[in-house]
Amino acid sequence: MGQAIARTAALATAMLSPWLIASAAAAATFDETVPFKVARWIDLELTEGPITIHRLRFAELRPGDTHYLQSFEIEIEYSNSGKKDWEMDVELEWLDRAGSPIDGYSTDEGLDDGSDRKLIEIRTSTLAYGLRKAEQLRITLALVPD
Amino acid sequence: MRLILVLALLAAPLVAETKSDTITKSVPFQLGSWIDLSFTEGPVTLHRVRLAEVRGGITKSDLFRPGNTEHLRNVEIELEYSNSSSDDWEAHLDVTWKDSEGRVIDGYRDDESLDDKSSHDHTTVKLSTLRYGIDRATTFDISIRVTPD
Repeated sequence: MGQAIARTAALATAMLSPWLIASAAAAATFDETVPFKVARWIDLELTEGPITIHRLRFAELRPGDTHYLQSFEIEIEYSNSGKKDWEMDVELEWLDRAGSPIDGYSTDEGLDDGSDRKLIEIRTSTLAYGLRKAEQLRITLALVPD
Repeated sequence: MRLILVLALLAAPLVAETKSDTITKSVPFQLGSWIDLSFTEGPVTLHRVRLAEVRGGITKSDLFRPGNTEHLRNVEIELEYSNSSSDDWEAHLDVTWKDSEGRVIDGYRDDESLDDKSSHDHTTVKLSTLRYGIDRATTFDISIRVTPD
């Protein structure tokens, strides 16, 4: 976390707040670039209506899996105190020191009603070389009622 | 004089080594360019090999990472060989591409069948890799061992 944090110009306002909430009827969103570190939780605390997205992290699954690939798990912790499911658009992109995109992952995840600190686990894999070069993680989340 | 020596080194394969049943070569990385092998072991001749970009079609990544192929690039290892024997032989491939600091970015390590009675046939291996890695690759290392199946 001691490394320099690179942000896009659009994220300048986010420096005043840990997350962004879009105006008007748009979905609540979180859009920030943070230092990349495997296994470390990133606090999000994004709240919209009954939903709270608490935190997110990359977790290693099988280091050294196959010859050049690295399997890992993206974990996102959330709560939904409402009686209806919500949906979250997730876009993650890991960048090198210069801010060049290495790889990423995007998905839609359901946020079950009546959940308290429930964990979403997304398993995928990428090149081990890319993870070694990653220094920043760009996180974009958008919350919408299902 | 030093400049001429450097240019001569860049123009030639970085390393080329042959050990009985194995051909080893290290060359500048260039997608699509054929690399001459001209290596013979028993009835098998490995003529040339290349790493080329593949466009279109469905790859393993499309199945395992649906909708998440934005950062990927599909490539193909293509090996041209002849086998005058009436038996199949095997090529044990070990290829890697490295960055300018000599760090391995990605590669492929597996066995490929060299079919009997083949003349200048091609065996291909398709794989997905990171566009980021391809953009930073400077060296292509090849090691192929040939044995009876």
